[in-house]
Amino acid sequence: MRINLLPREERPLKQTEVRWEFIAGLIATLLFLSVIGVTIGATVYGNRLEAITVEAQARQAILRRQVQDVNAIQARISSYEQQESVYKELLAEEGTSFKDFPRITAHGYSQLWLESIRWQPHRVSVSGYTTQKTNLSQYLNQIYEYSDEVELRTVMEQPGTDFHLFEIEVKGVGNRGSTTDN
Amino acid sequence: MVQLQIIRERITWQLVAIIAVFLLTIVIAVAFLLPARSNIVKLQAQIVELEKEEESLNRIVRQKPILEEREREIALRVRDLGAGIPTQYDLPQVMEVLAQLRSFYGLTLEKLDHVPLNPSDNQDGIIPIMLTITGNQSLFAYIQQLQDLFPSMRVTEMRWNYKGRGIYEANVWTDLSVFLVARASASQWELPFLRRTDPVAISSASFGLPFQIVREYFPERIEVLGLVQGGRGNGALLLKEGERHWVNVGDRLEDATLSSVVSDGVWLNIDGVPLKLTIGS
Repeated sequence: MRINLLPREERPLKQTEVRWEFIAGLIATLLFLSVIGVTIGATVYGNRLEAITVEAQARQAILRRQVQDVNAIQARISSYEQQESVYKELLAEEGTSFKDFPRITAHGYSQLWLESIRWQPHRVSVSGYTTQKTNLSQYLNQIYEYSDEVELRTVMEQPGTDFHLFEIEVKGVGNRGSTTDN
Repeated sequence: MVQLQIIRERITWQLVAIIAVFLLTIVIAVAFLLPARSNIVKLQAQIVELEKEEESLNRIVRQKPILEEREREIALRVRDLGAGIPTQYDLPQVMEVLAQLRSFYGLTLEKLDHVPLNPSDNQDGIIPIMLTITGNQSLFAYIQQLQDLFPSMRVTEMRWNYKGRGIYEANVWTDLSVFLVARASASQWELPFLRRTDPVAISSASFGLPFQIVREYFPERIEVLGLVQGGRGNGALLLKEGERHWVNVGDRLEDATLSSVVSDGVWLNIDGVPLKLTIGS
């Protein structure tokens, strides 16, 4: 029988037993190494993000300059648009176009003669004479085909002759039917 | 004292080393790891923000070629419009163009006038211009071309009269809108290139002389005194305004032409208007 008189803490350890200082030291070391590792990783990652940010900021600075160019173009366009609208206000109205004037003059009726035509924006007065009133009716119909309104203002018979003097007022010439390109 | 002794006995170098490592770990974590982590979070948020901003900037920048194209187009349009609208300083040249253009069409400019513009009173910059011009059917092409040459010229009225023998007279009243500028050098107007355009067909057969001229040949104003048919030619003796005229077929009597002699009278052609005069009527 063997009796060990050494205090418990001074007794040699069994072969399977581990000293607590060893475990605590191991944990502390592992924890330390992990923290160091993670810190280095975070710093590297942070630096990479920093580089990305700097690059993005540099790109953005370039883009901002380009945006300034775009804004300048837009400002110039809007100034041009203002100028254009001023110019357009000075342009003559469509209503003063003479494109339908030849249609008014071309009638082809042998007994109807036009004397004068007074052409105003949106309104035309035609005066003339005829020896056949049917020609006048046909002429009125012809004008009406491409005008909004045709009014026979006066028709006066010349005593002792076949002649009839007439005056026609036409509104909206060319507003109906196809127009002639001149 | 005994307890202090026990504690002193228990603090071994291993324990101190372990505590030191733990403390160092905590210090590193607090001093470096945590700021690095918060920096990462901050940078990530910043990157997300930057990406969004970059995308929106890119969207704007992508419009640049379209806007440049639009700018080119509108600049060209404005230049063309500006080149077509004169200023008050260009009026003499405008009048010169109006006068010169008629020579391309062989027309006669009877009258060319305008109302002088007082820039301080006339805020709208409108100069009324009146012209009277005569010529053949190309007169209409001239008037049409005026509108092409001066897009700001508004024709307020045109009176188109037939003068006979294919000659027309046009009285044209226009309002020329001009740019009111402080100096002549501010004008962008370009002197238009003058050329003759194809005349638009205006048939003189559609027109007749003014009726008061036709009326001059009515039986109460002109009398057929005698007729000759056969022999050396057909003719008639006419009395007009107390004066006797012997007229053969094809001859003119002022605006009328004797077109034929028939058994009971003659046919006159007054510039396309036929009129029969009976003998003794």
